[in-house]
Amino acid sequence: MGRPVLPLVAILLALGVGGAALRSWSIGYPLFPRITERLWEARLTVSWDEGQAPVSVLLPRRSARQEVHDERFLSGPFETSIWGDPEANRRAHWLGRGAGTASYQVEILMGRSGRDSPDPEAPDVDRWRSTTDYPLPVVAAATRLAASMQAAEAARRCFEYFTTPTLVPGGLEGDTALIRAAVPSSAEAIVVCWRSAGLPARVVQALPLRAGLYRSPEWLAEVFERSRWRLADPEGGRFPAPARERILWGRGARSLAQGLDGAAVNWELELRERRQTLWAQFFRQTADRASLLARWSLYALPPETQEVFRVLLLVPIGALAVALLRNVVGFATFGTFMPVLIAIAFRETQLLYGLALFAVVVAAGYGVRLGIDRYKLLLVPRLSAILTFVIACLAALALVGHRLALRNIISVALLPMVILTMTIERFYVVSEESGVRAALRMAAGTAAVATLTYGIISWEYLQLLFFTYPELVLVIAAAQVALGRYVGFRLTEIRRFRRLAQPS
Amino acid sequence: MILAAVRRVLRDRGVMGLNARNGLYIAPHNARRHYPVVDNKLLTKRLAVRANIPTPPLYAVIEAHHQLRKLRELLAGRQAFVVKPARGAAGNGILLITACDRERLTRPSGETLTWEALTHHVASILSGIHSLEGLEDQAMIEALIQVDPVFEAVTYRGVPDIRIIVYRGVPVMGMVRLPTRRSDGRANLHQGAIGAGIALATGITGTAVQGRMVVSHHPDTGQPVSGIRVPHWPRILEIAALGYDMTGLGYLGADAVIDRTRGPVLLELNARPGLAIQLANQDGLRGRLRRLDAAWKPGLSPSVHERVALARTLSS
Repeated sequence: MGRPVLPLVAILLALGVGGAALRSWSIGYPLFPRITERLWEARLTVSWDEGQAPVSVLLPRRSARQEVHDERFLSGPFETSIWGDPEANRRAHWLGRGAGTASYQVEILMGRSGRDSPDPEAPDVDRWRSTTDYPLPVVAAATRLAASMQAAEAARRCFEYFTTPTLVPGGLEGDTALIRAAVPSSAEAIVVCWRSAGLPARVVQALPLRAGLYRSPEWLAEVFERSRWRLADPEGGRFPAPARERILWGRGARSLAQGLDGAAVNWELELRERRQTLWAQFFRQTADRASLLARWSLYALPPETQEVFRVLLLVPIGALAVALLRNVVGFATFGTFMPVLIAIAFRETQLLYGLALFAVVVAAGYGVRLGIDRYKLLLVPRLSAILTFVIACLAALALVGHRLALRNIISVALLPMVILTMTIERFYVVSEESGVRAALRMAAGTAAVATLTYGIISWEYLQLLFFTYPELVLVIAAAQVALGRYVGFRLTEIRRFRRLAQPS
Repeated sequence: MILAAVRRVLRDRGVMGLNARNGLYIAPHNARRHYPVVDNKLLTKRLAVRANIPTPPLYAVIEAHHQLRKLRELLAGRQAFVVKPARGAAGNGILLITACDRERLTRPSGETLTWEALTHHVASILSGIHSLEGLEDQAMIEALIQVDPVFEAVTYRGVPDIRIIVYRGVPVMGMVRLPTRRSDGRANLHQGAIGAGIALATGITGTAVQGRMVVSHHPDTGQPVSGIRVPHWPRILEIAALGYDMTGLGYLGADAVIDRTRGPVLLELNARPGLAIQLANQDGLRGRLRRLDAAWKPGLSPSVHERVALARTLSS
């Protein structure tokens, strides 16, 4: 009977799941990672004339929904320094004399979380209430507007007054026109209105998530209402507007790039989209962190080794599949883990080519094996002869593949020829002992298991999951241990013994 | 679902699957260290001789290629013999010779071969062609069994053998395997030999199958395969039961044959006996194993005679 396995299974499960959860929590990897992310490359180029330096540019915000990586300054002779501004933005300053050109490059990864995380600056909202920067008539007009609405709906009303003029109540059209004329954007007009109504509000400069060349930002407005910031898009007529569809570059009305004393300078911002796999992304994140689990992560390995482990960590799942198919379903396969090895070999050739090549080489090899049987060769020399034939076969196929320009066939050379040789020999032995039908059935079983295993080890999502959380192999081990105690019938045995179930 | 229903009936009838055999009987009862004795027929034979269990007389053992030159001398005066690999599996590499002269040897089919061909066959056995893991092997040459008259009518060439499953030293199920034309004179069920279940209490054959088909007559001779009284039955049960004392394997399959003049002899023992015996008997093994477990008193080590008696009462 043996010792009960349940405790062992429970321990393995707990270690596997617990380890993965700990890693997820401490490093901040998503528990269910997506494979590709949209990454935006922005390049901001500023040029200025004599006397305009120092020039400052707004740098993109870091927040829960946008990560900023790989910032690079191409400053030429100018010195670069970064400091905050009154609107709590980061601004880079190019210091020096004379005319010049400089640029700033950055990669922005749009948030994975998809949910709004609480704004860490929420307690600090008071700085966004002041109207003192605006001329008195503007403030007076805005105050009149604010007085015309109920406090509860002030946020929506202000937005409507400056986006849908027909909604402005009679007698207040003059005020809205006055405000709109005094400020450069409707977004800012809305902000003035909000502040006059007592709401913290600010202008936001954003860029749409669309590749292109931009010379001005999108002007949006943001209001702090019911303990969170809500975005308004006056051009798009949306309030609240989703922040997901744009890069929030900075806050406040100060120009994205400006010279000494706010002098206008030429700037352009080029936005390009790049899809990046999470591999690179995780790799970078891990490299940035000092935590123990981050250092003891597979991402810390050299890239070529990482490639290997991506696949290797999935082999246990393939082995589990083999165990299931053999012990529960009752598939017959050549060798225990031969199908797994074959599946790994298929990674070089793709599945269909791999299966076809395997079938062709094994069929031809079987013919040769039948042919040389009459010579009654001894085992090792005979296997060597078949191995030689297999390699000759692969060389011939590679030449044919080259003529037909089929890349997959050429990479056949990496199919492990020893596996092919052993498959040929076993196929022959089984067909001699139990008939060609049994051998073909076994070949079909092997192909089916290899195909399934190939599917598993090529599934990039699983690769990413297991590579990020290698502890999960313990969960697989738990399943394997549990399966080790399955003493029920195999499906094929039900068929084999079905006569015994008939009334005798 | 039909499948689930069949599964339930099979379980209720005590039919055993491979997983149960491996996990519940072989793994706990057959210690790995006992395997080498049964995987090598020569070792089995030596142990059997020491335990006074009859085996076919051994004519020669060929262990190295240099002995091949003396093959004819070694077999001088022998008329009929069997060449087999010591570590062969499933009857592979076994060559039966029914007669020979200075030039040629005759097989049961009437086909002849030269001494040179025999030498080559032995050489390939030595190189491990037929052995379990392809390891170097020994060739053993034994006396050819003369088929007992009882089985002559239901045997196509070859030699029928009797397989008995022994659990805790107690025989639990038995069958006789009858070579057919389809099995090419071999006694392997999966190659098409007939398996006929034997009632342990009486030694009389009952149901029989060829493959999965129930048969009542031998397809080649047309003679009925059930109702045959196996001669020397108590002795055969005893030989099988002694397989446990010899090897220490708690779950084993003992293969015996009946020689016309010598009576029952032990051919080989198997640490992983197949499950087709259930089809031959149209009965489940697991039910019988459970019954034996229930009757088993811990700490008891019954003698061979007690165990054989137990086998006959348990199955009746």
